[in-house]
Amino acid sequence: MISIANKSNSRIGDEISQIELAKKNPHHFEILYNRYFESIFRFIYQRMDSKETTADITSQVFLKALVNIGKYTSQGFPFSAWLYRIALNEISNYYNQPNHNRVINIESIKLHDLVDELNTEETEEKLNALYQSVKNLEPDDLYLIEMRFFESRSFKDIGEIMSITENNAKVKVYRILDKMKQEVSKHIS
Amino acid sequence: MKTIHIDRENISSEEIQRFKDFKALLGNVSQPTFPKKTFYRTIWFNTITTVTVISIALIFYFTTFFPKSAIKETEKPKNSAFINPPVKAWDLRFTQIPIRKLNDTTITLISGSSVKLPANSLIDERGNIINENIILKVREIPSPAEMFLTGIPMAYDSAGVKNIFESAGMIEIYAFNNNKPLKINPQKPIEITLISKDANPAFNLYFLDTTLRNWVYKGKDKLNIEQALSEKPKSHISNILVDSISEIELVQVILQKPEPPRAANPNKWHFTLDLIKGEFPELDIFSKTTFEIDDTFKPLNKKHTQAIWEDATIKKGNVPMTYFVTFKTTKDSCTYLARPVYSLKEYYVAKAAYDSSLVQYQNLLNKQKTVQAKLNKQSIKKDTTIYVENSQPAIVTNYKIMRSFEILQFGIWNCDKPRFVKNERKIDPTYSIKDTLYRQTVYLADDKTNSIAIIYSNATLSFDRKANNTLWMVTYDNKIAVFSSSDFQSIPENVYRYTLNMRLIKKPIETSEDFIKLYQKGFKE
Repeated sequence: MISIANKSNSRIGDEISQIELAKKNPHHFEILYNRYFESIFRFIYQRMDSKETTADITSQVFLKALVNIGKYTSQGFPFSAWLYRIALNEISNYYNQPNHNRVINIESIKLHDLVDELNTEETEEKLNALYQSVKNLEPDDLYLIEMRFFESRSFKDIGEIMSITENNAKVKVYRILDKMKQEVSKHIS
Repeated sequence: MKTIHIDRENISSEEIQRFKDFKALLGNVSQPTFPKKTFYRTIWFNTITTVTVISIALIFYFTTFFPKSAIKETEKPKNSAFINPPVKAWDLRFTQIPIRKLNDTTITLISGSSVKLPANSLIDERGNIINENIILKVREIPSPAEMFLTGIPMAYDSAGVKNIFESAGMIEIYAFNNNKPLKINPQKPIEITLISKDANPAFNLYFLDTTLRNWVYKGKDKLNIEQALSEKPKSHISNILVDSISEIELVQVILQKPEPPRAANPNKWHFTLDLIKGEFPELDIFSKTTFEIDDTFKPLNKKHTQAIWEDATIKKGNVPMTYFVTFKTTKDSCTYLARPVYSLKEYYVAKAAYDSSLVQYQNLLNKQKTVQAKLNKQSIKKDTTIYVENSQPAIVTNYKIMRSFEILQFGIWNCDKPRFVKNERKIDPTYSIKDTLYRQTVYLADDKTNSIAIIYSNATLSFDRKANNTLWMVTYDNKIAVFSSSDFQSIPENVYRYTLNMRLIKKPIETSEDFIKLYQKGFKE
C-alpha cells in the first residue's frame, strides 16, 4: 500500500515547523518540494498521457502551494494530503476542458485486485466489460477506484486526499464496486 | 471520452528528477528588486559594470568567432510521444489526394509545391508495385504556426549539441492503398518541389527518423529560383527577348554586365526612400529601397543620422548603382554617396538571381563572340545598336523560390539548417495572465528565421534580441495567451527574472485554420 502519512509524531512536528518556516521565507519550501515532488508527479502522471503535461501540472501544483502556503493550517492531515488535493483540482481543471480526454492507466497486475473484489472471472469478455464500466465512472468515483485499486492506497489516505473520513471512503468505494459489478454482469448477459 | 492504457512503461525516478527545478519555481513568486538612482555610486555598481562589460565582450567574442553557440531547448524526456500536437483538435489536417491510376503523375498543391510520382514508384509491404487506387496524404509545414500545430519537434541533436532548426520548407507525405501504407520503390524515387520563402543556399535536407527520434541529414536540396510570371520585371523580359533574337540582331546588342547585389553592412547607417516608379528603372526591382552610406566618399556626420529631414533628392553617381542623396530642411542640407543594399534575407534571393543573370550574360557574350567571328568572315557590318538592360537582382516577391529533392521514404522532410543565435539573451521567466502565474510549456517563434522553440515549464527563456520573437502558451481551456514581439522589446535590460504578462486571446480557436489566421495577423484579434 502507498501511504501518504508520516508515521512518527516527531516527523509530523518537523514538517509543521518546515511549513511555518516556508510561510516566512519561500526558500524554506525547498525541503517540502524535494520531499513530495516525485510522489505528486507520479500521482498526476497516473492520470495523464504525456510527461510534459504532467510536468506542467506538477509545477502548477507546487506554485499554487507556495503562493497559498500562508493560508495553510494543519488540521491533523499530513501536508502531502493538501498537495494531493491541489493536484486533484488541477487534474480536474485540465480534464474539464474540451478536447482533453481522460486517461486511465492500469497495470494488469493490479487489475486482479479489482477482479477479485468484483468476484468475477478473468475472461476476455469480462475484462472488456470491466474496462467499459471503469470508463463509465463519474470523475470522483474514478478517482476513488484509481486510488484504491490502481495505486493501492489505504482508505485512510484516500479519505485524507478526498477530504472525507476513512469510513466514508470505504463505503463509497464499495458502493461504486457494487455498481460496477451490476454493470459488468449486465454487459455480459 | 476516456482512454485506458494497460501496462504503460514506468517512469523512473531519475527521469522525474529532470523535471524538478525549485529555483525556477521560486522565481515565480519572488521578483528581484533593483537598486535605484544612488546605486551608480556604489562599489557594487562598479563591480557589476566591470563584470557585465567583460561578459558582453566575451559573449561578443564567442558569438563572433565561435558561431556554434546554439539555442538550447530544454531536454525532452526520451520516452514521451515524439510528435505531440499540443492540442489534438488543432492538429494540421492532411490533404488527401486520390489517384485512381498512377502514370507519371505530378500533383500540384495549393501552395504551388508539387509532388512528382513516376509510374511504378509505389510498392506494398511485400514489394508488389501498386499503381491503382492510391490515396496520397500530404501536409505542408511552411511556418512556425504549422510547426506548433503539428507538434513536429524542431530540435536537432548533433553529437549531443542541441539546436533549433530554421526551416525553408517542410512536408509530411504518405501513400496508402486500401488503408494500408505504401512504400517507395527504391528504383523510382519521388520528386518533391517545395515553394520556399528563403533563397539561402545554406539549407540542408533532413528526414525525421521517428525511431532514432532525431533528424537525419540527407544531403542538400536543389535550389531553383524562377521569375514569378505575374510580376516579371521589365529588364527580365528584355533578357527573354534576347534569347529569341536572330544572330544578326545578337551582334548588334551591347550587353551590359549585371551588377552584383550588395548585402547591408550592419555597422553602417541606412535609410529608406520611397521612389517614384520609373524615375530610376534600375531601382524599380526594390520594393522599398534601402540605401547604405558609402563613407569612402565622405565620412558620416552622426548628427545627420539623428536629424529629421524634410526632403531628399537623388542623383545618379558616376559608378553604376551609386547615388548622391541630398537631405534637406529649410535651414540645413547634406549630401552623401549611397548604394542600394539588401537585407541579408533578400540578399540571398538577389544573389541567386544575379548568378543566374551573370551566367546568361556570359552565355550571350560567348555566343555573340562566336557569331561575330562568323559574321566577320562573311563581312557583315553592324550598323545599328540595341541597348539591352540586364537584370538587376530581384526582390523576394518577384521570384518563386523552389527547393527540390528526391525521396525514397515516406515521412517528414525538411529543408533546414541549425539556427545560430547571434544576440542571445537569457531570462528566468514567469508567465502571467491577468495576475495569475503559470508554470507551463510555452512556444517561442521567430518569423525571420522561420523557427520555433519549445520552452518547457522550468526552463530558462533564451531568445535572440534582434529576432521577431512571439511567444505563446496554450491554457488548460485551450485558449492562447501571447507575448508579442513588441512586448519583447519592452523587457528591461537589467533583469534576469522577469514576469511575462501575456495577453489572452478571447476569440475561440477551434481548428488549425483559426490558429494559422490568428498567427498570420500577428495574434491581433
